[in-house]
Amino acid sequence: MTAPPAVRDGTWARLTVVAAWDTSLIRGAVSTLAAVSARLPAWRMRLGEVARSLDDPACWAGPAATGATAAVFELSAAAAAVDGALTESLHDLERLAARAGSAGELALQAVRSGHAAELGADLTAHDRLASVIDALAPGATATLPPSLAVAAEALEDAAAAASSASSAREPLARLGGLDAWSSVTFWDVVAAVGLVGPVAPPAVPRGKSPEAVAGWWAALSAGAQLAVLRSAPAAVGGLDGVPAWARDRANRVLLARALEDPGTPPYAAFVAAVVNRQIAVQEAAGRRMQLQLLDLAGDRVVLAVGDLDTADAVALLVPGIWNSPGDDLGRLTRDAVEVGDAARAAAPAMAVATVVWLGYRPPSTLPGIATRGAANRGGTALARSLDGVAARAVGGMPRPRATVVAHSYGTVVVDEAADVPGPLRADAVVLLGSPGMEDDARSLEAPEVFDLAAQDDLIAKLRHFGRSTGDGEFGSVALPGDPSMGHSDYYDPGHPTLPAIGEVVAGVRVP
Amino acid sequence: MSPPIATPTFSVRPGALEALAAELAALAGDLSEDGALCRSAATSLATALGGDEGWSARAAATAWAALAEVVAARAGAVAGTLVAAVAAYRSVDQALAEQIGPAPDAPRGHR
Repeated sequence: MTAPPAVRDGTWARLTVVAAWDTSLIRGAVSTLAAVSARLPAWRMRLGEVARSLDDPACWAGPAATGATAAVFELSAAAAAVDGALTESLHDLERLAARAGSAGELALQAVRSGHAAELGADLTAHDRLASVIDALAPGATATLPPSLAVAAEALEDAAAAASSASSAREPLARLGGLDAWSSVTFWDVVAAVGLVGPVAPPAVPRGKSPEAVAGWWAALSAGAQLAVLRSAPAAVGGLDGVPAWARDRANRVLLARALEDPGTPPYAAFVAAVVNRQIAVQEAAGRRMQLQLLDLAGDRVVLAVGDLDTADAVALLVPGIWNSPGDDLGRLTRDAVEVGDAARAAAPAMAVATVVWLGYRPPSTLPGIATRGAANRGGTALARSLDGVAARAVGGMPRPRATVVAHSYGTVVVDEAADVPGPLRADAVVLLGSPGMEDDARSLEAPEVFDLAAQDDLIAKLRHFGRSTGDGEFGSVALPGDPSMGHSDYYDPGHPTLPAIGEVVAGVRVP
Repeated sequence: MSPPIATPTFSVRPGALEALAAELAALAGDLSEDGALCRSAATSLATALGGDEGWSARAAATAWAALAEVVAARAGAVAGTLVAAVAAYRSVDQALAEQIGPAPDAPRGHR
């Protein structure tokens, strides 16, 4: 085989072109596009809020309102499609930047190290020239002289970069964004997405991680999100990874149904009434409430004070035995309010949300109160709830500081949550009146672990479930208390512990 | 006998609607700025790569800009519609008020 001189010259010319690529400029441009793509989910979330507000008849009702609302939902669907296309395109552009960077560097090495001589004038023997040209072709398998391996690699990377640049256009072209010179219109995007008629509710994912759920939710348009909420509130209300506003909306639908349905079992109806009243009382006091779980059959309720979707700091309060939504929601909500107030006192500019976390059913009888069974189930649910809080980042919002404040048997729930595979997504853990922990503070996987075992706390003294958190070797940092405190006094505003808990939640207390 | 035709319910909170229009306009502005950034990135990619790769990368980034800009423009147009709607409601209400005339004096009590 004889390689024509043009090919030989072309190979050399290609290397010199690739060597001249401005790789830092490429990286900078792709970083700019990545930043644009990263901002789009948060932008869509704001648009979704506009759509939902317009959809509320209390804001605007009538034929014109219907038309305007439809226009915003249509806009949201188009934005979701654009977001998906940009994300897909960005993957190719990032590959382009990586391969172009590598290609440019290697080509520069090849050019500078004198491979030009072998590629050019010294390659006079036709057979050798042919083998070199063949070997330099991207994907070639022929044996290459070691001195030319760098050049071959450079050309292979350059070919991959070229392929990625071309691929990056494909997802955009599907929406009508063909190239630099054709002008796409909004209606091209609408036509490409097929936004005609009512939105069919998408299937709710099952068995996925909260992060995957958050990704699924973020990819839906505002219209599709509302369609899911209307068609499957029971599936969404307890689904970790779904934004708090949506879970709240779904659970309030379930709450209203339970209150209105004469067939609701008496105890479930009683709990529903308690939840409804507690929300009403707190909202009347001007507090934002978000119902994050309403499992009347399982006697589980998770109720947030504040906005979990925008809070800078989130605290999950995990109560211990003999607590139930029906009997204790009012007191537990007051604790959550007071912890939130204490956090805001410690960091006045901080947005704080606190959560009554009855996402497990605390035991109330023997042998449950003496065993780890409920804690084991609760630990799995708590770890998942924390993953759900952290998954907010998928939707474009920064991850909040997360603190678990556990009391009594609730500390055993934390102990079990830390045993769940994967890191416990808590920045801080506060253990109050713990009846004992299996291992040391480090095993809880949180960077900050605080505790208080009050002097007159008999439950803490029993150490039924393991070592005392007050034991110096446990490794936690003691919060302040006073000698008069007993097992039920940790959230009492009359003691010094509550302000300290607030500082931990706000992240201003140094361990 | 034909069924009764449902009459639509009209209600509007102009202040809330104006706030939504302002948010939509802000969203349009933000995305429009991102579109401009995409155009700048397109130019950089063409300069940095040159040749066919530069053309393709520039085309891709320009398409990013175009898609961001059409969505931004639509958001701005819908914001304008909402603003116009509020103005129209206020105008109609004012015209009706003028037609109806001032409220009569409240009846005085017996002396």
